[in-house]
Amino acid sequence: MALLFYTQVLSHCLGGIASFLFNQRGENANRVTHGFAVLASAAGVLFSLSVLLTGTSWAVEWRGSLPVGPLRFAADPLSAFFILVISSISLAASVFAVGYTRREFRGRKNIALLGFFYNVFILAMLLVVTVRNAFYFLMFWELMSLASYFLVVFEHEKPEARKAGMLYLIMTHAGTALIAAAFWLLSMHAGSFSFEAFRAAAGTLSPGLRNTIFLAALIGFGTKAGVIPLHIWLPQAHPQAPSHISALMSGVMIKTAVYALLLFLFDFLGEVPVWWGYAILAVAVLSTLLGILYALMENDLKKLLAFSSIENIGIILLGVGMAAVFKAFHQPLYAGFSLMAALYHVINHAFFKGLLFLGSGAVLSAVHTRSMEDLGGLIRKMPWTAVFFLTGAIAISALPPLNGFVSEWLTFVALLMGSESADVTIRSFSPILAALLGLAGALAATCFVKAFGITFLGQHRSAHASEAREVSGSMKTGMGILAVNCFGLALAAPWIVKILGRIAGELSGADLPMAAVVRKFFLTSPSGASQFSPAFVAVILLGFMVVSMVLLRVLLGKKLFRIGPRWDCGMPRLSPRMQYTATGYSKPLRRILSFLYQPTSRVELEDEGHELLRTTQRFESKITHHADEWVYQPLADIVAELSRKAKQIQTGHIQLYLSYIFVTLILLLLFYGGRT
Amino acid sequence: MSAVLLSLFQVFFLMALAPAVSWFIKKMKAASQNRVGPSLIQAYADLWKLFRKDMVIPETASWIFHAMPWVLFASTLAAASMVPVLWTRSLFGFTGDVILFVYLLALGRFFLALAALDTGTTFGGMGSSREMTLSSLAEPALLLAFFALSFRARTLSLESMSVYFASEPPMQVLFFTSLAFGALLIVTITESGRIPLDNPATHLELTMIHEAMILEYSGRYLALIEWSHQIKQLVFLTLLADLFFPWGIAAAGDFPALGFSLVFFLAKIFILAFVVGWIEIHSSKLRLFRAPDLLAVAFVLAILSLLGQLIIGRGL
Amino acid sequence: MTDSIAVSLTHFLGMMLVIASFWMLASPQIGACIRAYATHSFFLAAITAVIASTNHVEHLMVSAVLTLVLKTIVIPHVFFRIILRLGIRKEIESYINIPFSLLLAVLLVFVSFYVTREGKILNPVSLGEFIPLAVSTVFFGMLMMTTRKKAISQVLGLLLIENGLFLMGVTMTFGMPLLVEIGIFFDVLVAGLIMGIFVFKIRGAFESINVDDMTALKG
Repeated sequence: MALLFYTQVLSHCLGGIASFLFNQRGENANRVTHGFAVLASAAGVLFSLSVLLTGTSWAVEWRGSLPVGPLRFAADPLSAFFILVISSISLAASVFAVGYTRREFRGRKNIALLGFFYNVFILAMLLVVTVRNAFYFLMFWELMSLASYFLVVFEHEKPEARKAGMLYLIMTHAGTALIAAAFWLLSMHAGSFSFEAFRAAAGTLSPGLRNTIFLAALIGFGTKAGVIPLHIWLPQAHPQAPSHISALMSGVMIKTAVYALLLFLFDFLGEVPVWWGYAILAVAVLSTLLGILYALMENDLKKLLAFSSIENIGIILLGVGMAAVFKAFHQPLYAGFSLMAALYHVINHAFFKGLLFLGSGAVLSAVHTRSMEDLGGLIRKMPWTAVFFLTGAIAISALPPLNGFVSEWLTFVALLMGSESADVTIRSFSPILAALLGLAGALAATCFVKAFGITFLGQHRSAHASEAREVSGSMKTGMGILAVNCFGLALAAPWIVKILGRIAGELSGADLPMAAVVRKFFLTSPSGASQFSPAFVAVILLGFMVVSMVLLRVLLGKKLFRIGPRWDCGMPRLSPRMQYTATGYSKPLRRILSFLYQPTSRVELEDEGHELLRTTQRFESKITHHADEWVYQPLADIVAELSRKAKQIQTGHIQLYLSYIFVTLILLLLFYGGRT
Repeated sequence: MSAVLLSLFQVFFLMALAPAVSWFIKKMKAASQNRVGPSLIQAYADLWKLFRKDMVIPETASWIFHAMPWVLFASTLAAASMVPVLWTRSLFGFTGDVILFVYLLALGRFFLALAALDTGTTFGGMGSSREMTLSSLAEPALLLAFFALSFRARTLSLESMSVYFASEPPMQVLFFTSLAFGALLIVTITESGRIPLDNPATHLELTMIHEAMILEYSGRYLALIEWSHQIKQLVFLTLLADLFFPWGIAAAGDFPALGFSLVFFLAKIFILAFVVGWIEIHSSKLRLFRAPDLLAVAFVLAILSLLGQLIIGRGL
Repeated sequence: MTDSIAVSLTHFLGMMLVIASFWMLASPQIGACIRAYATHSFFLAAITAVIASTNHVEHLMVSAVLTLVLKTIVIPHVFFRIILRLGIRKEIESYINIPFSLLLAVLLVFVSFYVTREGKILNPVSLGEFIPLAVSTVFFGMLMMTTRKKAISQVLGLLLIENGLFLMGVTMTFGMPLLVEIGIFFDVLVAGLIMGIFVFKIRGAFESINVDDMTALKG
């Protein structure tokens, strides 16, 4: 078992370095670096599965020379679960990357450098979820952030990539500062940096300290997870990275924040006051609804996916929040169930969002544009990519029989169990929260009908789209792995629930009795309110389809059809520009929810002296992002104002700067000298 | 075994009855306009004719266009097999709950909206966009109405909810079931594409939603789509009957009770269809951007149904 | 009528009352708003009548009849005449749009339920479940008075508040002494009339009944 872990770590190290031996822009560097990444990820999948299936934890410890305690790695079921998420997505992404990098960057960019940061990024995530020491945790956390920053700005020749990277860097460091503060407070209290010490000292935390640490952790990790209103970097940064990196960032990296938040909530801080649950639920609902509403208005395929990640983080946090509420009221069975729903959505979202980002990467590499207004009709040019993207779209819209529905169902049930809660507030709000989740689900379906329909269906909206070619075998394989697993994760639900139930039970402090959540092929709600079998539903749907096809064939004979033109209202020819556009598709909702979006539009007309001699017409439509306008713009203004004030001491004379140092030195000496 | 057969029969029964219900509303409408209207046979003859006709497939269609009717039909049937009809059991009610029911219908709609975009015509995109917009507002109202009912019944399964409300004195729960009924009725009208939200009898581009999506379909596919649509409408009416008027439904599968139940069921369905038809006759189609107001009413009704229980029922 | 059925009936009527107040908030036109008020008062009268007959409180029956006559017939009638005479535009003007005021209203129902749970504020003798309904009716009235622009909607808001208070009185203590109640009814009627005249005067002075124009009064 240990061997697998070391194999994984070493392969990532080798993959990061070895490719520099070859031509750094060539095919060999590409193959070597991603080959090692594939190897490492495969080892990671095996390692995590062996921990999860046998239920035995594994740990290793090195005594370093730093005065922060030993460097300890451990893989308990929770860590192993997150390793599984990381490794399986990175496996698919690495396979995909071989073809993608070749098509996008060969001969143009330094592939060895890309591979280096790519491997470091995955390795850092891996170490973040296994390390058991706060100091090293922060180190790896920072490594993860930096590696992903360099990946975001990999195409640094584009100004928007640099801009997004800078925003990401600022936001992630603001978050890290709070995380560091949370850990620092904890370690001051526990007198050690090790997680075990935190756990042991949890009982003696004073309420004030506990609340402070919780808030710092919630905001700090919330920034990384991209919850609203801390999300502004996410839709900028994720789409800028190369697509297989976007898949990892959206599918996996934001989940490491969920992992850390779970540790804080259920491990380090002991008692959970009920308002923590409310706070998490409030953030979750806001992220879920606004995330998908902003996604709906996006016409940039990758940005749309990034916004939808915010929605899904919200869904995960709905489960976590319910778990916190139930824990506060000492209802461990329900707490465990809610947590399990959240964990299930973690892995599901990793798979389908990874798949969708890889799909968008395939589209990007074939068409070289992310704007949906220039796409269309790709289903005929790229049939495989279309099938994979459709699988992801169905899964993320939470439609049966795919995996998205399973975890959404679990979350629904967890929310509705709120009516069994001891708390009157949650009893009254939980069905409404569930209905809002339903609203988000319905909007997600609309959003992904738009994403798939406008991108892949209809007719080509630009010349680029008509020249698209299907992507290479490695890219198809990468997407295929994830697509197949979207089915697998649904059909194998009872077994997965058993594994996740064990993890959730351990976290929430009481065993989740399997009889309460799984019965043969059925998932059941612990309150006995309902049951659901994903496998049966798949069989029923397939059964009805096949039976009706066969019956109609037998009763009425083979269906006869001829190919004809479309209904064109008597016009001579339907042009692709007459199709609904992405903007048009979301127009009704933009108008209905105008109080939220506050859309503004502008029409520019130019003519040659007479309105009939019109040369150009330009239409521009924008929606308002309130977080930007209400929070960040004022903040930026304040910072700018402060900087302007601070500018007054900047004269440009070197003597003055030296005198600043001189004065500071004297003051410090006076301060210390005066004390002793 | 006989239980399975009986449950299977229920599904066939719904499939067979669905065109008749649509016919009934058509006939009502005709009567209100001093027309004779089609005969009952016509409803079935239309379907039969469509099933046997050859199809014209648009040249720009992809496999989505061919797959949609089957997916729609299968998902509608799967949803139909989850509702109790003549007795308190259903064929596949054990596989899931109201959430699954709602999402099965959503699956069909997802493909319907995709197929509308597939051919790349303006009509298709328009219908698809409108349908998804309205349904994203109707779906939460539907779910919340279910949740309001399940809040009392403490179960999410359609079968047990129906059994529960059959056992509860109707007067005692009227204060919230009446509101949930209002919400579900509005959703039923939305989902079956009727006035005031959609007009089933028009091909005017400004007003149509459902018809715009299936404009390119013909022959067997069109028959499947139309039939699915009729079944969906009947399923919603059955749902209303099951949840709000569960009287007379047979508790066991013995024959006198079933005959009794059949009579009751037909009476309930045609009365409900009468209500839907009456609304269709007596209202005019809402402008698309006014339609959300009506769905907001459904949502508010559902919320009040829940709040009412908190205030008057267990909450205190 | 047996007791349990009567209680169920009052519950049903109570919910209908809430619906009527939502209708008042949601109606885009002044006529619909007045009709909603009439409906609201009708349900109020019905609740009063049911409580009167089951608890054998005869004087409540008088209140019920008075409510029915005054609030569902006379006052709406007066209002319709005012509209006709003034030729007011039918649309209600509001600072917030209808969906948003509905959302606020739902929140207010929550709030009224939350603050009155466990009898924190008031200690009822019977039918305690009506207190949140009554409180929310009062809230709705205040919401109407604060968000609407026309004076006539504010009068309607005030009447809604009065309905809420009346409901609270009836369900908590089976009404106040008859004499007091009759006094209140006349107050309401007179208030309605006076405000009707007031509305005329406002229009006479400002050429509109938009209360925004009264900001011109501050020096």
